[in-house]
Amino acid sequence: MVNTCQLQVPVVDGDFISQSATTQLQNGEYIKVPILIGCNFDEGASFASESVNTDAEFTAYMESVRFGVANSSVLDTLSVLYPDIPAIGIPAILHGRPAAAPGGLGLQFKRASSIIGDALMHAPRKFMTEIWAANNLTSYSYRFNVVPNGVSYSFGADHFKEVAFVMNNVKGDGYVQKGGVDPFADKLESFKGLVKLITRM
Amino acid sequence: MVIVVKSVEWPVYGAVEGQNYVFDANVTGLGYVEPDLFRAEAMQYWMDNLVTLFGR
Repeated sequence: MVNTCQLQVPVVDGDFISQSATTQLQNGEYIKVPILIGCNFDEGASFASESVNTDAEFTAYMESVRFGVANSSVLDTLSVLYPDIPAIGIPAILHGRPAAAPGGLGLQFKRASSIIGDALMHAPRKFMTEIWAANNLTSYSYRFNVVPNGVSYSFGADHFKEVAFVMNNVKGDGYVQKGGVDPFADKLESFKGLVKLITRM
Repeated sequence: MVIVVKSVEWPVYGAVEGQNYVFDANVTGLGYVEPDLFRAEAMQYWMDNLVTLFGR
C-alpha cells in the first residue's frame, strides 16, 4: 500500500486507538492529573506545504491534509478564517509575502503555515486546557516565541525549537555532534536568561 | 550584560478566561502572560467541530 498522505496522524484502528481522542476527552475518559502543555508560535511552518501560490492551491492543500474531507462548505469557511493576508499569517517575523514556488516558499506559505499549525497543535492544545479548566483540573499553557541560533528566520519559532531551552541545554550538547549548530552560539545573554526562567518555573 | 531573571509563576488555565505564558527572549522580563485569544474565531471553529467535521 502506498501512503500518499503528507502527514502522519492518529487513526482509530480498534487496537491501539480505541476511539476518537476528542470523544474520550469529552467523556472524561482520561487521567485526571495536572498538565503543562504548549506550542511554539510557528509550529505550522515546519509542516506546511512550500508550494502554495494561489487560492486554488490553498484549497487543494487543505484537501490533501484531510481538512473537512471534501466538504466544500468547510473548506470555504476555513478559507475565510485563514485569509490570504501575509501580515496575519505565520511566521510573523517572516515579513511580507514569500516568493513564489518553486524557488520561494510559496506566495501563500504564511497562510498554509497558520492553518496547519492550528489544526495539528494549537487548537488541540486549547481544547485540552479548556476541558481541564471546565473540570476543575489544573493545567498550565505556554506559547514559545524564540528563534535559536542556526535557524532560518523564514520558519520562525517552529517545531522543536523550545527543546534546548526546556532541557537546560545551554551548551548545545548534541546539536553540533549531530551535524547541527549550537542553538545558543552568538545569541544574546537573554537566551540563557530565558533558560533560567523556564527551568525554574 | 547581566540578565536578572525574576521569579515568575504559571497562571492556572481558567474556565472563564484561559491564559498562556509566552516565552520571548526579546521582551523585557523574557516573557509575559496573555489571554488565550490568538486566532480565537478559528480556534473555536476547530474545537467545535473536531469530531463532526474533522474526524478527530
